[in-house]
Amino acid sequence: MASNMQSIKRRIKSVESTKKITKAMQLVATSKLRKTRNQLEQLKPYYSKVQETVAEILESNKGLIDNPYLKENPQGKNVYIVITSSLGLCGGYNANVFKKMEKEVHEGDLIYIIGNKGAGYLNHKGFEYNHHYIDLNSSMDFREIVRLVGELTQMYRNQEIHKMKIIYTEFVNNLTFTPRVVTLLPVDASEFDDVEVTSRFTIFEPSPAEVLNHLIPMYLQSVIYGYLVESVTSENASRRSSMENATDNAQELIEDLLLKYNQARQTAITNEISEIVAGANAQ
Amino acid sequence: MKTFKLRIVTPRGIYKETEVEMLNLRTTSGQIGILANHLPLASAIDISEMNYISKGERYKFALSGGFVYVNDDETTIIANAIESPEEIDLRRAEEAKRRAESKLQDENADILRAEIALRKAILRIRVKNEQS
Repeated sequence: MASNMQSIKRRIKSVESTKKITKAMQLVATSKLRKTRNQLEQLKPYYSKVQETVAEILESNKGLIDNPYLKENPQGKNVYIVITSSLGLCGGYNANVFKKMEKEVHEGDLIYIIGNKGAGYLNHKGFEYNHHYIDLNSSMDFREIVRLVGELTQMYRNQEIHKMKIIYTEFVNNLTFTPRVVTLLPVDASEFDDVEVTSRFTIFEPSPAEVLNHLIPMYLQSVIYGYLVESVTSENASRRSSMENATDNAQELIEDLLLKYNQARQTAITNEISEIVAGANAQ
Repeated sequence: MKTFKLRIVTPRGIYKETEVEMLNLRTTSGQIGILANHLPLASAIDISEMNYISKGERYKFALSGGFVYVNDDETTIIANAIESPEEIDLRRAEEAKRRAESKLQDENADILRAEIALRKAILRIRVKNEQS
């Protein structure tokens, strides 16, 4: 009996220390989540203004613009930017992205991976990928995005890319995140939602086409950066909720074990007493 | 003098939101000045100095390219990087200038990117030095 009590006690201790870890990770994820959510909020005006302007130019010059970014290239590779996490213990965050990727990405497509977990997955699957931007999810460096967009738009203009898409995780609220695939190039104005075209008599200096040539790379930078921040927000939210679950489960387990321990203790005491009483009666 | 609303947005959020009397900047096709009641205008901005006059005082900024959008009620500048003279780190700019210059000597380097970096660095140094 005593050995049983000992082992229960050991388990309680081990569960308690696990709980401490998950609790700490939960707190860290909560504060990170707050930070990235703020970042997402701050990005909004920039992002929506760029999108609004692109939509406005496209709307007011319908069919008039012969721009390489608006046409699908007949040949070339499909390019995917895939955003995953670098750390584990974030629930189904990566698995959901992988599921989406499995459906979308085919042999021969070019993958720009962000996040170590995604790189590990692609290694395992034997896909080729570009890992130059793998650390973007931790650095969140806008200059790196500028470089990435520069590289990709150059390739697109050279007709090396057929289509460019991004796979990211949309942040719906603190508990809901859905992986999404969005086409970045060619730019399709019909995908823009909630954009109101205000003025149709805008002057474009020097010309609408020239303005678009400048604006579309900026648009891509802002969109990719926005999706990146959103994915990292989802990652932190996912980690927070899965760590919260783990902490709750640990607490439940501890309560169960404590009950068992007390029962065992009670049984041991009862046994001892009945032995003593039996011994006293025998005399 | 009649004023209009100027808003400068960067990826890090809204940089500045203020009432100005006049805005001067250089678009890819040349220097322009914007006063209140300007016609709607959209244009790309060169890597250049930008300034505006607010309450009779001129404020200068180094602008690493971007985009300007003038509307009836407000003017928006969308920029990836903008700095006031106080915010410019002169040592960093000088280092960037040296780096870009040595890259321009190197035949294998990306000349276009080095040139852009050099222009940004020179602009920062100029805006910083003009102030003091």
